[in-house]
Amino acid sequence: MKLYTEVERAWRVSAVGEIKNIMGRRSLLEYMGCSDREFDTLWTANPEEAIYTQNDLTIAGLDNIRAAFANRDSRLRTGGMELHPLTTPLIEIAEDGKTAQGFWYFLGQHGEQGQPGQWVSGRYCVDFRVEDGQWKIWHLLVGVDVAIEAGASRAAEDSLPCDRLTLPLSEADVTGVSVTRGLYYDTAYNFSSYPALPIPYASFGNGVSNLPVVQN
Amino acid sequence: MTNTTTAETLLERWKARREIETLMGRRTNYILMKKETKEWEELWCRQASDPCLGDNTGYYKGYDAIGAYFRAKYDRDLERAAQVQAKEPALAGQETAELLGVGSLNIHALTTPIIEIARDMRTAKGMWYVVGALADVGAGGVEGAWARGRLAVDFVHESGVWKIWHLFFAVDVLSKPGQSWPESNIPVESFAAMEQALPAPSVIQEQFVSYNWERQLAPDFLPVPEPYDTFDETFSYGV
Repeated sequence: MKLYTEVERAWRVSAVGEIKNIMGRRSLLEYMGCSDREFDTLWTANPEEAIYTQNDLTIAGLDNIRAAFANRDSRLRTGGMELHPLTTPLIEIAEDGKTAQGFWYFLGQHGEQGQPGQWVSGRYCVDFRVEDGQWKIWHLLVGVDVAIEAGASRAAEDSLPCDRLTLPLSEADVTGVSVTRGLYYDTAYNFSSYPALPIPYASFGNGVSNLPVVQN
Repeated sequence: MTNTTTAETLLERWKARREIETLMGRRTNYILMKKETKEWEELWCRQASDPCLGDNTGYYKGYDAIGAYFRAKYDRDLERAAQVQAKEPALAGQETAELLGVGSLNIHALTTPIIEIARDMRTAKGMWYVVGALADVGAGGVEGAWARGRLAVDFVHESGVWKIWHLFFAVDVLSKPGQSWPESNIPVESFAAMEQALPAPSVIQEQFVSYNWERQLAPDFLPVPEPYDTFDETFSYGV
């Protein structure tokens, strides 16, 4: 195990708080329909390296990701609701202090104009890296486990099937956006070993990310 | 590793964050145990000007208004406990003031923390999302509700201790279990199992509206905390 100086130890402790702040800010900016601010301030400044993934698709490149979320902002601001309260943080800072990985579980709600409210829950899996002294989101996966109408039973037969889960980005949001389709997070076998939990690591390299890596 | 700050400064700021997390955890547990008078006595500031406590119904501004709110809440809880005690033989003979939590379960679990300590270390700002479950005993029996909303707080460092200065709970969802919340959100002021009313807010101005299909969410109301140097240069969650 690497031995750290006093300053390094203090910095690593502070980094955990900063990463929690970034993810909290992201959740609440999303809720407010302010994705522009999220992408301007919280994501990597190397746009070609950003990756967003949800259960059924992945989007490479910040411009593409930004376009999909911009489509969604207007419906969130008027009669919509997408809120993923984050719990159960699991954060690993690389030994070299250049990257970090985090997992969260969210217990959230989804609302859409004219539609019944839904309780949604699932996981966030995120790679971060330091750019100009600031932590930034690099790769982000949101995997929805459950989306169920409020008031309905949670029995398996009443849960929405995988292909009908309400995901953050809808088909309408990604119309005209370059996406890669696939099954990136599978609720059929909840709590399987994918994505892998972050574990202590020395530095980011091939095979370290627990998220899909696709090219723009 | 990019860093120009001293270890001492980093640890001071980390310690402040931990103290604020603990303060808010203590508040949540006081609410759960119906010991909210301890919230007021222990966790709120006593020197800073114009403390504020707000929710969708308005603000209690100033020490007198907030103190009156907590006293009325205590009286209401005491009366509710007496009613439960009268119906429950196992509670006979006990001190009613020790039974404030009987029959209620008000969980305001805190998630999604954002905590920014001012660079001058005199104030701080925090925001959390509350994932809550409420239950209380009223005339018609037990009432329950799911509660969701943002908690926005300004803190002030007084005599070496972090204290709550301004606190606003912006309720998004307050709905009865078994119902779809867009159609069944309960007005915040009416989730009071007891009929005895609390004092009206002392300031009613910009009001936050619970979720409904027509709601236009204003991003400028309760902005997310951002790094700042001194309180003079940032916004306030009070009025």
